[in-house]
Amino acid sequence: MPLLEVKGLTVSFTVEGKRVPAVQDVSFSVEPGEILGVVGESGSGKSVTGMSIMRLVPQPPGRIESGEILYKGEDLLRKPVEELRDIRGSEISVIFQEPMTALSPLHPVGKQLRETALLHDSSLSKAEAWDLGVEWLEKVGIPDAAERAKAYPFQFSGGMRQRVMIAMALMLEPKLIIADEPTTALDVTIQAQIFDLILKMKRDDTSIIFITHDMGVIWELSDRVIVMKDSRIVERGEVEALFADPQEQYTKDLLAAVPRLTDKPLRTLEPGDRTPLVEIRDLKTWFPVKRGVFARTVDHVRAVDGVSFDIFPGETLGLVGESGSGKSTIGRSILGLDEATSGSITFEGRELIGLPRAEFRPLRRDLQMVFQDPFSSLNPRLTVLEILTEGLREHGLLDGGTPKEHAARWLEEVGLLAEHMDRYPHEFSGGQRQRICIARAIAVRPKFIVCDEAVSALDVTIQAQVIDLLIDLRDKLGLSYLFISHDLSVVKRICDRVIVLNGGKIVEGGAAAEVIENPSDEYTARLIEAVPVPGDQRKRELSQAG
Amino acid sequence: MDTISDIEKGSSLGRDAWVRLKKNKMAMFGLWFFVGITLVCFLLPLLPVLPDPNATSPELRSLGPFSEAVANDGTERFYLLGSDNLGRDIFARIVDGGRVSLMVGFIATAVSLLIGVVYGAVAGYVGGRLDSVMMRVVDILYALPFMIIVIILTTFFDNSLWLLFLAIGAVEWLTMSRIVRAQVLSLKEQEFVDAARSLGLSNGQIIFRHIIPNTLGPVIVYTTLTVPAVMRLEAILSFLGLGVQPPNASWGSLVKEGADRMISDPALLIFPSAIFALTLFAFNFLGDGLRDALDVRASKD
Repeated sequence: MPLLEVKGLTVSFTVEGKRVPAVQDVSFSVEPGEILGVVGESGSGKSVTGMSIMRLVPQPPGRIESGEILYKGEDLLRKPVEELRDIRGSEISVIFQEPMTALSPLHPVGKQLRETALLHDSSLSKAEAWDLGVEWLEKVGIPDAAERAKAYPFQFSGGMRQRVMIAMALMLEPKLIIADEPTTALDVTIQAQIFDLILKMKRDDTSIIFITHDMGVIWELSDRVIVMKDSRIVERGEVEALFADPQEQYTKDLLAAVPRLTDKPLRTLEPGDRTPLVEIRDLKTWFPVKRGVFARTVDHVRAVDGVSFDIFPGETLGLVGESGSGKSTIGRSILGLDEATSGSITFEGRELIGLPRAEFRPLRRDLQMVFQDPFSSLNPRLTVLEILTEGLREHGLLDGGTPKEHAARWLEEVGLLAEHMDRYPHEFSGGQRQRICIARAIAVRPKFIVCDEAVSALDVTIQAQVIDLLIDLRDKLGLSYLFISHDLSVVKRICDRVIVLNGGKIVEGGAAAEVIENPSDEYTARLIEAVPVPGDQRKRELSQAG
Repeated sequence: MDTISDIEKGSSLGRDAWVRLKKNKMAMFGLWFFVGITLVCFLLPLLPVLPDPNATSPELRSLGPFSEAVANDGTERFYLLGSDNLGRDIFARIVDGGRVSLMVGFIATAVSLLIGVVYGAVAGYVGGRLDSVMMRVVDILYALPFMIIVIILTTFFDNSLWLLFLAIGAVEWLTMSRIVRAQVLSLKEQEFVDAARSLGLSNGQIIFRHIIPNTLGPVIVYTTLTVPAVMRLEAILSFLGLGVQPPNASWGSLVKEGADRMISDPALLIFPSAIFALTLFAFNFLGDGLRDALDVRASKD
């Protein structure tokens, strides 16, 4: 008998008076000791499906319209809420993507674990429950657990907090875990550690529903998979069979769009005798740590600590590293968004560090940036027309046409409709917004663009389109990119050279394919090993073996 | 290019908010009441329908509502809400007092808006030491006992209406600047501000074009809540005899006059207080409605 059986689940949300279906007629089952992967792009209904199992969908605006959710033969949807509470946590627990919101900021982590333990087993003494909490912190790989248990959630890093959440979910020894994108915000090496934990749980006969947008994660972890799109299940099957021979067109598109570490680079650039466009020498960007009423500087965070490299005209240079490696800060320092502490950055031979604002201003049009978050990188109060022509006006580039004609041209250049120029950013989807950001950057005809995680927040199919757009524009307009990313697969595909950063220092650099296929540094090797590769049998067997 | 001239108009966040506001009955009541009372107080005195609010006619004192009477000079009068102990028309005095009260409310709020938004935006955007110093100034001003300062000011200077505007405006901008600063602190971390910097815009352009427009939501809400707060302050000051001086009236001074005679002539207290209370209600409903309508999180998707 399956542990959980979902039959004909339909959930809708009321948005501005209209009922919009979020999940339609979804049926699946989970066997004991199995990992079921649920994969889909944003808005596919995968998270709502997960939340509905525990009736955690906010009602209103959400409404579970119909269906049955049978857990050990009992229908959870028709159970009184009081009885549901006994099941939540001890039988079925949930791990969310954002652990900060799920932990109380006012209590030390150990205390929260203790409360959880006491809920589960009220015969424990307080001291025993605390020790149990510490034991679980150790199990999820928190170093110095006894001491760290006294710390508050904000004193943990994102990965550590996620592990605390996982410890909290696991210590109740539930029969079923619903994990909703638990590793999406984490670095790959941390993600790999959390996979180990999850697979260990599985071997103890716990079932897991793993919800993710990442095909690689599905491949390494799950036994069976369901693919969701537009609130429905489009395909289901055993992982290996589904990856080897997808039946539905959508699944095929999805698998084709996923960048893989095993992909060949799109081009190979012959190294020639060229003068660098940007030269960076011994760059240090330190952030002051300030204390007190009048903000005295007491210490520094060394975000970038002595980095030197060149960027050549027409080249795409990848900058990779985990969070906190300083990769974004380097990009921001080149554009003067973060002030460099020392060192030298030259653009076409001109020193940028210490350049007065007025002299930097004409150079600004040569150096542009595309940001990660397509939602915060466009001013919500301006129309697309205003966004696109602002920089042109500033640099006196509006000759040869009305502002509308200029805006229309750049919108068409990035594959959007010129008619939409009077719309506001919130009327566009994430992928379209990123195209607007690209249009804004290229409209001033720059020579060099910093792409800071420019495709990381996008769904894979959209991501593939935006990458194609970036490459087209590069070749057409003769641009050079500094492509900052945590995603090695994307970097390998589009970058000519790559530089690997760790702790603000360069650990390795060279031709992208060379570095990723044969890393010479141990850190790089570890990073690459942790990247899940959909369809790579060796990696799947390796992680399944634990 | 024909296609570009007849492009569709985008729906701005402002228009979306208006649609949401229209659905809120209480807020719309507040809005219409506010518009109505403002029109009555400012336009009615321009028409020759109301008697002089300060003209006394002792022979016609303390009449009830809807009284018709003939004055000593032979003119026929109609008292909509009755007359006071000096024979002045209560309705005319409420309209006249309302003009003063609303004007104090609007002007003092406008002053606090202007100073508060610019001060807060500069402090928040520039940050660092300047921010620390500017906000300590605000803290110091906060700590001063407001009532005592107003009393000192009114004793030293002429007891004019402008002093009232100044005194109230000088206090109310403090909270406004804190609200704006907090908004700006989070806004300046947004990537669109970085994008504006990389386009080479000056700090002034960034503050006025990219930052201040995005603080408008909370600012509008706080403004609609500041107007009644200011009117209440003016009423308190007038009640204490520190505001508008007789024979001129404001709602505060009318309530004060009514309170003096509430045993003998309760209408003198009831009518001005009721209108005043309704106006404050209307503003607060409108403010609450605007807060819900402008909620950025709700409008994001």
